[in-house]
Amino acid sequence: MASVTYDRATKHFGDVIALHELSLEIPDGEFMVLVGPSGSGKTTALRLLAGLEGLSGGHIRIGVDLVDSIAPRRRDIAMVFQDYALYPQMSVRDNLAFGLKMAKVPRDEIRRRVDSAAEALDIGELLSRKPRELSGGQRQRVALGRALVRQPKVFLMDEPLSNLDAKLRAQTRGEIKRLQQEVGTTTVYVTHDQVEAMTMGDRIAVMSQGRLEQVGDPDTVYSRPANTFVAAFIGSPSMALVPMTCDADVLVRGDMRVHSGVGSAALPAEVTLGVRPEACRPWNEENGHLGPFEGRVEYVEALGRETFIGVVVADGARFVVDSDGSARVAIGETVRFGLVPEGLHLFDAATGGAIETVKGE
Amino acid sequence: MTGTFERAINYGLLIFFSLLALAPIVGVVMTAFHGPDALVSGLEVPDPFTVESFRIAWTEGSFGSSLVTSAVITLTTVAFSTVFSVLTGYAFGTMRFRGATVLFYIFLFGLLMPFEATVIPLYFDFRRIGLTDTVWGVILPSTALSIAFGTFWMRAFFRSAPRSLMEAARIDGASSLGILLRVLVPYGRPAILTMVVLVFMWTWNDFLLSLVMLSGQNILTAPLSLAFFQSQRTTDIQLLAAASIIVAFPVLVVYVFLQRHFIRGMVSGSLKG
Repeated sequence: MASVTYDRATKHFGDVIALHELSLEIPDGEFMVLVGPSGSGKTTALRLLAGLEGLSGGHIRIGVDLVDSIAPRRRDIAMVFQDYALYPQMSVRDNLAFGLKMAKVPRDEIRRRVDSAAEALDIGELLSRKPRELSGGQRQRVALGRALVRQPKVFLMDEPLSNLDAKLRAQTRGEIKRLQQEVGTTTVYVTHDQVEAMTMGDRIAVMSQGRLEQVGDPDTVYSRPANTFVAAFIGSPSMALVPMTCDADVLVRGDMRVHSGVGSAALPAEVTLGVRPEACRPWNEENGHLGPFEGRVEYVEALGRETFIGVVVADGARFVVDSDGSARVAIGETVRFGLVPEGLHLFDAATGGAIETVKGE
Repeated sequence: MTGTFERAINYGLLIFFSLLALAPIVGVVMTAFHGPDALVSGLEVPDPFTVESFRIAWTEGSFGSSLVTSAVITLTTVAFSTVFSVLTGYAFGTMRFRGATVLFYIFLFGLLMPFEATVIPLYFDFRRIGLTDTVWGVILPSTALSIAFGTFWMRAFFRSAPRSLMEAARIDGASSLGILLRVLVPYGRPAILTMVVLVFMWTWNDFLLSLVMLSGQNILTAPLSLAFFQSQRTTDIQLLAAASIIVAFPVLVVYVFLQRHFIRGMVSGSLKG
């Protein structure tokens, strides 16, 4: 086990900058999730750590060792690939044992470790099968097992759940997290799925266009997004982002006037107001929400326990209203809603950066 | 209704072309089983059915030794060209190194160059160093030709092989040669066997190169014996047919034996669902 340090790690592919001066400290034993859309540089960051790509600049350390020019096989890491990359001609047992054989681990020890990993992953009965005889979920477990038996310093996982169906994905999410906590191995996990990031990571690093946008524990990233990118990317449905103009400490857009709750001195002339669905509720006189505002219903997503209502306000600003239970509203109807003052996020419209608000925290 | 009609047309065409392809082969087989003195015209069922033509053709064409010579040449060529093609294809297909593109085009040039243009100068070169009228006089040029194709073929295979498989092996601690031998060669068995069959066929059936390089006629390959035989007995169609079957038989056996490997889906299941 070991910590991982990216020190201004940079990767260019020709003129394209895939990763720009990533600096990130991952302490020993942490489950770090790199999350971002396609082209955000998260997979590049992982492949640099694996040694599958060479750095264009900066350094990477595993523990205290500088690994910039160390071959992948000498880095003592194990990786789970998106397509599992199981060796097709080998049985499950041989797949699990391959890395250990390469490392010239004694045969008894290989057998012991393979059996114990197979037991932990409940794949004991599959050991003599070939990968083609396994289901997607079973292959995924074998791929995890292959990483587990190595007992490496760091686990690297490149979207390992993206080929599973939704139910299996949710189940395996919990299992990976449990296994990681049991063995306590530092893990770098890449995903584009923000739900995976939020549920699995001790901390998550949100990336976009080769840059690190924010790093923090899931709760911080969700409740205090550093900029509009993180605000929009993390959370589902996304945070509504509405450009507004400041009139002293009041935010104005058409007929809509929202008290920012921030001293006017802290506000630039143009801001972006961010409101998550849970801070945007059907209007009720008694609960002290800001409003009422009126909007026309664009769509309704009834999930049973709650209903998300997409509304557009007179001048084109869009919000998602979170209503408990199943709300009876029709598309085109006008609804009234209020904003929870503590749930408002303000961003500088020019830079996209968050403006520290006083939300009674 | 259209479906049935279309299907009938499809089957009709397929049967027609299959018959076109099969007719000459059936003709040769039928002819070969006629006795050497029988009168043959068209696709006649042999009566009596006899292997006498095979027996005579075997002795007169001295196939006992020419088949051995062909086997030595072909197997050596296949072995050399497979090993070298896998290695060069692996390098060109998976590694980035200085001059890779230029070098690859040089290999490709071997594929594009008409062999007929090089065989005469090659003959004089080989005669000077004493390689004519030896099996090496055929093996070396055949190997070189096969490597040009094999490199092209294996490079295409290695480029299409999943990178993650190689990367997984790299992370698991395999060396470059280890990745090739332990992961890619077993994975690429269908591609490699296809190449083996093709090279086997080309080398076995080669006529021009053997004719030029073995012009002393001390040693003969099977297709050469066939030609020699043909010039002596042009009118004796039964013996010629029998001799042709003797020459074609090993290729057929190799093909039938290795064919199931092409079909076997080695790849399925190794990667995502």
